[in-house]
Amino acid sequence: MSAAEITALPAARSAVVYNDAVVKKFVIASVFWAVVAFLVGVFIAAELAWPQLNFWPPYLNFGRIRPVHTSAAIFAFGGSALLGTSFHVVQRTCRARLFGGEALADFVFWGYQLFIVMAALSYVLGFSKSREYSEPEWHLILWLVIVWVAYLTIFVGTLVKREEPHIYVANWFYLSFILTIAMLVIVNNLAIPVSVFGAKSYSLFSGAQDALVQWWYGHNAVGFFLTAGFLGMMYYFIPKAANRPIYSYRLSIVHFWSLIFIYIWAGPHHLHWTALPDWTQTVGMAFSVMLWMPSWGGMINGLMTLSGAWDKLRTDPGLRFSVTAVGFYGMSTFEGPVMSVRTVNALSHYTDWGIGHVHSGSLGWVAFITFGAIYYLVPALWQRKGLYSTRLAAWHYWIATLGIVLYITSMWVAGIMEGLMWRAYDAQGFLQYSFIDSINAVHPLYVVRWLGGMFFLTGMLMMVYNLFMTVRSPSTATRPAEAIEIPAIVGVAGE
Amino acid sequence: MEEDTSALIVGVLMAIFGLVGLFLAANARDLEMSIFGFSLVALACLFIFGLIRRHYDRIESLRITAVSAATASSTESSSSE
Repeated sequence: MSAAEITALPAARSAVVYNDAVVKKFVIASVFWAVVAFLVGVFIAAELAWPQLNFWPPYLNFGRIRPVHTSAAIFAFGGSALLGTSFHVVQRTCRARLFGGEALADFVFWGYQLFIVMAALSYVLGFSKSREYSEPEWHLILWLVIVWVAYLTIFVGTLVKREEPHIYVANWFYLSFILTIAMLVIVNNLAIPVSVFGAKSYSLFSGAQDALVQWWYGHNAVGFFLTAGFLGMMYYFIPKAANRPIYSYRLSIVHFWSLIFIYIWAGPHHLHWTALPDWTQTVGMAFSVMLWMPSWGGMINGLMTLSGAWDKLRTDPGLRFSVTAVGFYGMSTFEGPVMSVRTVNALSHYTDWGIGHVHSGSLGWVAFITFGAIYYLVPALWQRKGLYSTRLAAWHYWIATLGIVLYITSMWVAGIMEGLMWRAYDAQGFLQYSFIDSINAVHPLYVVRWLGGMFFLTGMLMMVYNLFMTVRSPSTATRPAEAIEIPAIVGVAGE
Repeated sequence: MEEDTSALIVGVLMAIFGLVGLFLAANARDLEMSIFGFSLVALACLFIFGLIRRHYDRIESLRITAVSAATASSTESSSSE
């Protein structure tokens, strides 16, 4: 098909009225929950640096507030961004309105928000299953499953009724995220409630099996929620913002299948040197090391998409966020396999190195790729000329990057110091340091971590102001004729 | 058609969820379940009110479109006479 034919194609097709209302709601929710997640994160970082902050009413102590931070960051901020962008991407790349009508899409939005609010409230009240990233009690998980089935129905229904013959690769990533999260959540949360009318429940598994199921879930929450879903975002929004096709579509397919096949086996690396059988630990380690290659294949594909368009990084802070996110993705997917090696893990496990690693992924990759997508989406969805201030977005970029650098370097230093202090012996074979010695030693680094979090939060508040003004300011208003039109030739698929 | 069917199915489901919420709140053994039950009821009520509002908004907008189309065509025919 010639370029002229491709350009003429959309004119011959009937216009599709997309459901943008639900995408807008998810974008607003994502920005709101980002502020909440970062604010709570900064507060608990302060609690660790200055422990006297814990001696408030129990609702605000570290043990209860920490899952509020992780759930707000992963499921509220990240989840809302994933659901919203997946609805945007699947409609555009399939040239089809969301399946199930507005009512079903709205149910997914409000049902998901109810789950988030209820989960946060339950942690503050002291109800928790104490499973990392899966703290909500059984009744909230049941509600989440109902909402998730509705989400899957909409997504698959839209794929089925698509007008495009091809399913664009971003949709494969989103679909793997939806399906695998459903499987992981259901299995990891198999539990017996004490009463149908009571919140408390007990896991169906026990001992080492319980730990393995938990970390099979935990690592794949990282793999399929925080990686596959956001890779879907990368494969749509970077080509759109750069106005370039993906560097290699074939590589994206190899990336997809190898990533989802390998990721699911890597969970046991969280249980090195435990009661888990050695061979299971080795399987986890081997698959984690193998995971490095598909991860870097994806990173190269994302970065090389900018071939011939690198100059855009100077003028488009949103794209700068997306590309830096891919850089952080490459960095943390190298660090992860290194940390999964049993001998390295002997030093790094239970230390703040793990916290630094998680935040280079969550702040550098997840938050930055989301910021890039939101800076692209808000002017497009609200039909504005562009961002209210690209200068302010650039400030956001630099202050957030500085915040991440402060956070991860302080945690690396703290973690390695802790690991070395805990394994140091004196000449008589006694431990050289008590645990409190290591806590005192890392105190200054905890303060630096808090400062890094403050920087990141400040950048986020700048983003909120910028987005609010983008939607409200007369300076960004467009006349209908100026509304953003995307030529078919640069559309990633179906546009 | 798809919108009406979807609203009907989701509306019925929300009514069921609201009833479940009422049962949970009424028999709750702890504060957490009580809050969840009442929240489910509140969400169901607000959601169903939202569906009703959207239904009448749609009818209203169709009526306005039909009236404007009729007015435009009568103005056109009278000017051509």
